[in-house]
Amino acid sequence: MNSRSRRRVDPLLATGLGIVAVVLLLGIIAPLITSHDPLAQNVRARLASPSGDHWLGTDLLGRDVFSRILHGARIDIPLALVATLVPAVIGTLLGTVSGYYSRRVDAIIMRFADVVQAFPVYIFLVALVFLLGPGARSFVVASACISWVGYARLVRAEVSRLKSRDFIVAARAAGIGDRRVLGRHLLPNVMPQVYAYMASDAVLALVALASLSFLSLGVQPPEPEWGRMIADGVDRIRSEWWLSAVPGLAIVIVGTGFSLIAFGLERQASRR
Amino acid sequence: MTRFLLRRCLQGVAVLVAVLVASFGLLKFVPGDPARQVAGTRATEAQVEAIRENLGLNDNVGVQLWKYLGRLVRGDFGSTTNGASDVADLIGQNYPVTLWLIVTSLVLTAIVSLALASSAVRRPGKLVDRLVLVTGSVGLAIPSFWLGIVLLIAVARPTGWFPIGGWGDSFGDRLRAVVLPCITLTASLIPFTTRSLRTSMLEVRQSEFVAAGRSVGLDGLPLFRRFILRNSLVPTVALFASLAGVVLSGTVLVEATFALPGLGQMMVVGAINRDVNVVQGLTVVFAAGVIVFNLVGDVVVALLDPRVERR
Repeated sequence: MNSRSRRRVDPLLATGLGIVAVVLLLGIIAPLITSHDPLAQNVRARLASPSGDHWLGTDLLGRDVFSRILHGARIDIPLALVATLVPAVIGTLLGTVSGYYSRRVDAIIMRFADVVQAFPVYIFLVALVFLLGPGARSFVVASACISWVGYARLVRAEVSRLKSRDFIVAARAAGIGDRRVLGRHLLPNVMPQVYAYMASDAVLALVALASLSFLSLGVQPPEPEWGRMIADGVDRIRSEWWLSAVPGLAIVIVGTGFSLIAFGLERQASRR
Repeated sequence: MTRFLLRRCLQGVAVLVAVLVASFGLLKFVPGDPARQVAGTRATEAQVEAIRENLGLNDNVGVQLWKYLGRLVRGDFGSTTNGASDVADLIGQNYPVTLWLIVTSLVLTAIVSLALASSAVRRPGKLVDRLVLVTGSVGLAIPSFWLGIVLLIAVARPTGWFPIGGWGDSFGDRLRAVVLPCITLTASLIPFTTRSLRTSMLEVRQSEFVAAGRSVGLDGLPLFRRFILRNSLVPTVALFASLAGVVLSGTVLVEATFALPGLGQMMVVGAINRDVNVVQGLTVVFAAGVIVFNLVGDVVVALLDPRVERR
C-alpha cells in the first residue's frame, strides 16, 4: 500500500465529519447568529408562530426555539462524545487484558460482561440514573457502566486472534516486552476497528441522551437539550407541532453524521 | 440434547442469580436513607427508626441479601413507596399492554425485515441493497420516541383514526391504540434485524448447496424459497432471540411516548418518583425476561439445527 492511498479520506467519512463539524460549529457561534438568549423567558410572547423575529417561533415559556436548538448542539454533541469516549477507553483496556493475559482474569471480565448484557440497555440506564440521580454526569457514568462491554468483546476477540499470528509470535520470541508488543504491534492493528465502533456507538449515545432527557431523567431544564425540548412540546402537538418535530431533526442529522463516519471508518479498516 | 438443555438452564440460572444480587445493590447504593424516604419528610426520628427496623435495614448486609432473595422467590416485590399498592399486583395489571406491544411488533418486524433482506439479497450491491443498508444506518439515528411523536403529528392528528396516546377499554379501542406504537417499535428494530438478516442470507446464498441447486436448473423464486429462505431460518430465530434486550428497551420509550400503561411506563414513573421497590422489581422482571427469552431462543435453534449443540 502506498502512502497516497492511505491518506485519501473515504467520501462517506468526509461527509459525516463535515455534518457533525458544521452542526457543532453552529452551536459554538450560536450567540453570533441569533440575538435571542436561549433561556430568556417572555410570557407575553409565548407559543408564537414562526416569524422573521423568531424563525421557529417560541415555546410555552416564550423562549426562542431556533436559538435553543442551536445552543442544544453545545450540550448534546459533547455529552454524546464523552459518553462514547469513557466506555471506549475502559472497554479497550479490559478487552486487551482479557485477550492477552491470563485466562482467569479473562473469565472474570467476561462473566461481568454477561451480567451487564442480561439487562436491556434502557432498563439498566433508567435504573442507574435512578441510583445516581438525574443529570448529565449520571448519564456519562451509566454509559460507562454499560457500553464498555461492546469494546471489551471486540478488542478481546481481535487481540486473541492476532496473538497467534507470526509477527506477534516473532516479536515476543525476540524478547520484546509485553507492553511494547501491545503498544507497538498489537493495538495499532486493533484500533481502527475500535474507532469505527466508537462512531456507531456515538449514534446510540446521542439517542440515549435525548431519550433519557425526554423521560426527564437526563439533562435537566432549563438547559436547551434536544430530547427535553421534544418532551416540552408534546402537549402542543395538536397545534404547535414544530416544537417537538424540529429538535428531533437536529438529532437525526447529527446521528446520521456519526453513522456515516462509522461507515467510512469501517470501510477503511477492512481495506487494510 | 438433554445435557445441552441442562447446561444452558444452569447458565441461565447463574446469570439470573447475579442479576438478582446486582438489583439488591440498587437499594444498597441509593443515595440517602431509604427508611427516611419511605417515612417522608415530616416523620419523627422514632418513626423512621421503626420503619428501618421493619424494612430490616438494621441487619447486616448478608442477612438482608438472603431475606431479599427469599422475598423475590416468593414473588414478593414489596409495596410502592406511598404504600398505596403492591408492586407485584401493579406488574400483574400492567404487563398485558407491554406483552401486546412486544408480540405485535416482533411479528411485524419479522415480516418487514425478511421482506427487506430478501429483496436486498436478490442482487447484492445493487440499488435495492444499497437503499436497505443506508436506511438501516439512518434508522439507528432516529430516536424512537421522536418517530412516535412524528406519527402522532402526521398520521393520528389529521386522520383521527388513532387516539393521541392512551389505552382503551374495549378490544377495538386497544387495537387502534396499539397500531402506531407497534409501528414505532418495529421501525426501531428494523435497522438491527435487516442488517444481520441480510448478512446471513448472503452467506447462505454463496454456499455450495445453492450453487448445486443452480446447477440442476433451479432459479428465481423456487431456488430462493426452497434453498435460501429455508436455510436462513436458523439465523433468523437466533437473531430474534438475541433481540430481547433491544425490544424491552424500546417498549420503555414507546410506552412513555404514547402514554400506554405498561411496564416500561411504570419503570420510568417509578424512577422519577424515586420508588425503590418499583425500580428494583421491574429490573428483576425485565432481566429475567431477557434470560428466559434467550434460553428459549437457544433451545429452539438447537432443535432446528442439531449441529449447534456440539459447539
